Amino acid sequence: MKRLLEISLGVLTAIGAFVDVGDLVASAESGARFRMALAWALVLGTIGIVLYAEMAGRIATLSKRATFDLVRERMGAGLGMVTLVASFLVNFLTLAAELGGLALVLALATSLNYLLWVIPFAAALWIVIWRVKYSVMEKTVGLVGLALLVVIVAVWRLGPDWSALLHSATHPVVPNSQTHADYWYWAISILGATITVYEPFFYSSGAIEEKWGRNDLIVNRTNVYLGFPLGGIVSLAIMALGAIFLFPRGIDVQHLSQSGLPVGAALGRAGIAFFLVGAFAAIFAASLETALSAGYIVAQYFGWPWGKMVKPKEAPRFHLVIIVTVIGAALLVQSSIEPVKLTEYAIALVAVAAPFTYLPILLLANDPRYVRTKVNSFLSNFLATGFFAVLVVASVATIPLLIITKGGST
Amino acid sequence: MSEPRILDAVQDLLDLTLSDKEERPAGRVEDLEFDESGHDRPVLTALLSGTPALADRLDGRIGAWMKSVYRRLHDEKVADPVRIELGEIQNINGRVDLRIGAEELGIGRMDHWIVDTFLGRIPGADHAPE
Repeated sequence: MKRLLEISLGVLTAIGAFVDVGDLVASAESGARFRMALAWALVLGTIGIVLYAEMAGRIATLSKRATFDLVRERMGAGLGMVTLVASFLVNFLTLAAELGGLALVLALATSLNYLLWVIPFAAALWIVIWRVKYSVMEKTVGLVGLALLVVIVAVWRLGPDWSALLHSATHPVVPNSQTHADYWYWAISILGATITVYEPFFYSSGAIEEKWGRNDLIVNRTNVYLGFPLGGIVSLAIMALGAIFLFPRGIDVQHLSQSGLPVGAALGRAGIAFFLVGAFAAIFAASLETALSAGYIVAQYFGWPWGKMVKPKEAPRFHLVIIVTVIGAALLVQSSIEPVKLTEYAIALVAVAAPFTYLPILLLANDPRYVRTKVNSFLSNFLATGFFAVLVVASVATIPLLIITKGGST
Repeated sequence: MSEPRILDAVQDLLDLTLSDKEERPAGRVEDLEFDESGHDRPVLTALLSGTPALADRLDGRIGAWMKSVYRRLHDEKVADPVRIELGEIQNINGRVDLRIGAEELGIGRMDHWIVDTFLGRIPGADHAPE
């Protein structure tokens, strides 16, 4: 019974933690611009992150080693450093985007300028990392994040033409108002927002922090196989809201409030309140994950002590990296760089860095030295290799598309 | 003593995590030192660790940059890689377990400085998060 409770709590947490500012922006904006024509990218990204997070969790559980620890060991100092630098930069931009997103949500709720909220939230973020136990932190924000399920209710309340929505998803057409380059740029952004660069680092380090053992492999599987796809449905619902409400009105998502506009139209003030609370918790969760990931990957590369399970005094360099990263990200947002624009760049750049971190996961999940008998099945290897090929193509295409479309804004 | 095993220096030793006598992570095996005099093949004499050893191994700008940052932060005399004699090794199996503490080796000197000047003054530095 206790086990069942633990598993369901894990699944609920995974739903809340799946969505972050990248999904809120990318799903709403692509819905507003392409209706459901990019739903496939969201589904593909969800399948990808499910496959790779399950592997990262399984490797960590069985080898007691986090992903970046093994990236360094298997890729060596040089290539490992390239991966570290690329992952760190994208993760840093993501953290800044999340902080900007948090400030925007608070600005919406309080009608104060968002820039007033950046420093207080960076400070709050750090205090949680410094003082709150891993499991408490993760479960609280994950559960509150469930308020975002309101978007599914909103879709249903708007009473859309379901067959037209489905048709738009299964027969993707680029609307006349948009270019093909934009379409592919946004496909990559959706992919990047869904897989994220930090998830495997955070998830595998979390497995070590929570001291997962062989018996927890089932927790790993249910979290990922059930929680992530349900989180994906939330993203899909946000895209549907964009398609139903924003697309016909020609509203382009320039501000985070536009992601919530359809929820307000469908459910009024109460709906908006749920949406803001859920968005706040989900983005706060992602800020914690990215801030911690910065510390995790640097400490693991260099072989320093790390983690929230030890006294901060015993992992000083890990905590110093987190502090410096959070301050840097807060300053970047405070420089009044447009948070939605920052988010768009961060999610597009995920695709550039992803192949470096996803390849070692795929190789290690097939290496009996790390996972003993629990190597990948033929089916997961087949799917994961296919997904990796997509990532490589996306990685090569991102920068040219970014330049051609001027960041997806043509 | 366990049975002798054959290890591949690059596959099974380079880049492994070092674990000191208190089982705390103490850096990585950044490089290996070989004696190439008088033998028909090189003989492993020590493991090298610490930032200078890593900087030597990384080519180009990033290695040079790491080295110069490290020099600025430390005394002139500690700018060499940390040598770990083979006798200090307890066991090698996915990680290198050492018989001595990281501090005796001179690994993690920065930690004291960070704790003394900064982190140690923040309330809660002495407790794991609750």
